[in-house]
Amino acid sequence: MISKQDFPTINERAPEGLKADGNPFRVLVVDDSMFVAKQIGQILTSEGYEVVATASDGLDGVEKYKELCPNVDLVTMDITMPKMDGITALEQIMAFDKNARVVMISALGKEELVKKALLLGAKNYIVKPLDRKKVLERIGTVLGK
Amino acid sequence: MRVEYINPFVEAAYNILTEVLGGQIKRGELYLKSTSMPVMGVAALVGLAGDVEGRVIFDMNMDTAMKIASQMNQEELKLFDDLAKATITELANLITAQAVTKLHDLGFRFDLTPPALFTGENMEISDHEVEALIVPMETSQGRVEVNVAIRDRM
Amino acid sequence: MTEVESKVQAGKESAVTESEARGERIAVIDYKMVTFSLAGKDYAIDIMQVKEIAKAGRFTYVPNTSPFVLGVYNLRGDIIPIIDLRIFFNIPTKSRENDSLESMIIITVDEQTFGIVVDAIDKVVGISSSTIQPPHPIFGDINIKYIRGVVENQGRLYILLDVSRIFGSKIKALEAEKSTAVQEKPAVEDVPAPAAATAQSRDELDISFIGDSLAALIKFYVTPLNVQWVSNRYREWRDMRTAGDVQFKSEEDARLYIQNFYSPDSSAFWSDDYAYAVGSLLPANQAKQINVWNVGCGKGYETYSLAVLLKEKYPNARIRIYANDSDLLAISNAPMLTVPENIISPRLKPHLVQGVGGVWTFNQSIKDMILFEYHDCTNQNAVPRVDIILARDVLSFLNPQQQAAILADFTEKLKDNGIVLLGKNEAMPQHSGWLRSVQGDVTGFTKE
Repeated sequence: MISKQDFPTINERAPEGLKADGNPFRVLVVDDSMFVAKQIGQILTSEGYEVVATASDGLDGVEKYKELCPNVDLVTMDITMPKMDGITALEQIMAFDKNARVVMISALGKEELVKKALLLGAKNYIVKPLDRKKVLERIGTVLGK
Repeated sequence: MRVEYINPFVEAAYNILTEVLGGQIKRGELYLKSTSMPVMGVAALVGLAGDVEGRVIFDMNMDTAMKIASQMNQEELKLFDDLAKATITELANLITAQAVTKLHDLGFRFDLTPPALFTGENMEISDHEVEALIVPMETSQGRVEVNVAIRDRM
Repeated sequence: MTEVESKVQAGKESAVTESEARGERIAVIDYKMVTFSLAGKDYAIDIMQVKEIAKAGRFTYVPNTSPFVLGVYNLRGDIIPIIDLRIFFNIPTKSRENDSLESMIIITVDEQTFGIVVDAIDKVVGISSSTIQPPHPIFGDINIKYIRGVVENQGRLYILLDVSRIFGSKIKALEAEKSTAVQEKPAVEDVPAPAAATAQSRDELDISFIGDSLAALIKFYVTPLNVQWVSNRYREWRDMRTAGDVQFKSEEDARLYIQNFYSPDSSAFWSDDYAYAVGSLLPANQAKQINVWNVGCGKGYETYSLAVLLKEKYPNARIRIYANDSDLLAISNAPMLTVPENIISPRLKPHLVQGVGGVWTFNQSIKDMILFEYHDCTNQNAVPRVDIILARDVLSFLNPQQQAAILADFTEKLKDNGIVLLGKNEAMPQHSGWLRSVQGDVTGFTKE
């Protein structure tokens, strides 16, 4: 009987969420929607990423980042949130850690907003509805693959 | 309602519903409504601000809401719990946001407020004598009405 | 069955009422009545004469009857006349909306059944007949002959009507009217004088039928706004048609009738002459900001035409035109309306730009003046106060209440020195607070 080990491992690939050393990338998800947070969480964990924390508004997001740093590799940031919106939270996180890797996730694809976020230091921008492939691609790019 | 605002909402509703629900989406005939609006059971309301003031309501009955939430979560939800509510709210957000983005590209500066979700029997949403555009959308999960009332800041 | 209907049934059977159940001190309940309201007052009718309660719309109009006979109604196969008590008693009423459901009490008098329309039906009330007091003129707006008495119950005062008296003598008259359709004055002796239908000339009657048909077939409503034109047109029409053929057989006939009602350059850009006429009616205005309300702008032809003419007449003002129509298809294309090359006059040219494919549209300056909205003017209108109102051939297609409401809006929204332009064959009714000025085919109205 032929078993899996007999074939070369061309089709197998390592899950994207794992670093070279085998540990998962740690992600902080900031979004006020339980549904979106769940969706992002599912996409990420299915590829081996680890969601270390979730925040439901900008203020909470900044606090959690400060607490977790340096044990967080990436932040996904929603733009429209109560208490503190994503752009303001982005500013604060960048001020705290200029090497922070933040990817904006928003339903609003307004050119101005995208430009503003990128200028403030966001590494990338994803417009909802979330497409699994797109999400993984963009996050992968940011994490330097 | 200003003519230029109509298409962005119609298109956004069609696009988003097609993308997240799958299945055939059919748009019904648009019409204007003036009196206070009875709500079918579940209504998500997104506020609009900026060059205009107004709101968008996504109206559907509970059965449709449950089916849509289940479809979007790719699992059968049994209760209209926090997750289901967040899902419907997100749908409202997606449609309104896409419409606002299109309007932005046309030169109109709108912003949207975080959505609010209302559920209940025999509810009515009364805006003080505001005229609303109704865009009925038929989905495989049931009927969703997009109810838009916008006024230019004069 | 509605609650009231079932109570009427039950009322005839049981002898216990709510008030008895509540233990109020009351003598034997031996009389039950159905209560209703009419122009804000409470009335009642003996339940034994009430056959049933119904809600209905669309009675079949029967010509040549007294004005209080609304028509006839098919009550499960039985054709019964419908009386409007409000008109019968000469109580001023709001005019009826054509499609609304009316509350009706079906009563039987001397084996004749008919329906009476009231404002609202309330409930069945049980009383002791000893509490019925004799009528006193002060209690009613109506002739005391028709009041059986008045009775108080739970804080409300009901005027108890004597339907036998009201309708007894009328039955024969109604039968005659119903069957022969010949104009006849009803038996007058104990009837108060609601304006008994006077013998109308054949023409007047025909015009009135034509009015009804115009409304039913193509939603053109004859009111003081356009009645002058409708009457004049009638004479032409009558001569055109072979005798006896005056009435409309179809929607097409109706459209033919109003064929020459429309204003010049309808659904077209205004000719230089027409534009000039409009321009000369408009008053001088030094204001920095001029507001215009264009109701029923359709595809926008008149809106752009007006914009061009205003730009030239008031070159230093900032002009804002609020244009609306409830026809989505028409108004959706208005912002992008194109101008065919062959009608571009030297007057229009400076305001146009040529785009892709050689197509001409209005320049940005003109476009910025106009706000096109998909809006139903019978809903609340949110325009600011305006200097000019342009409403050509729009009001005639609104029913009388809607027309009145819009005219009231015009009065409210128009600045004191403002002007209203209606259709060529429309005019503000005389003595309604408007002054008219005419220039060629164009008539303008200003506030007195």
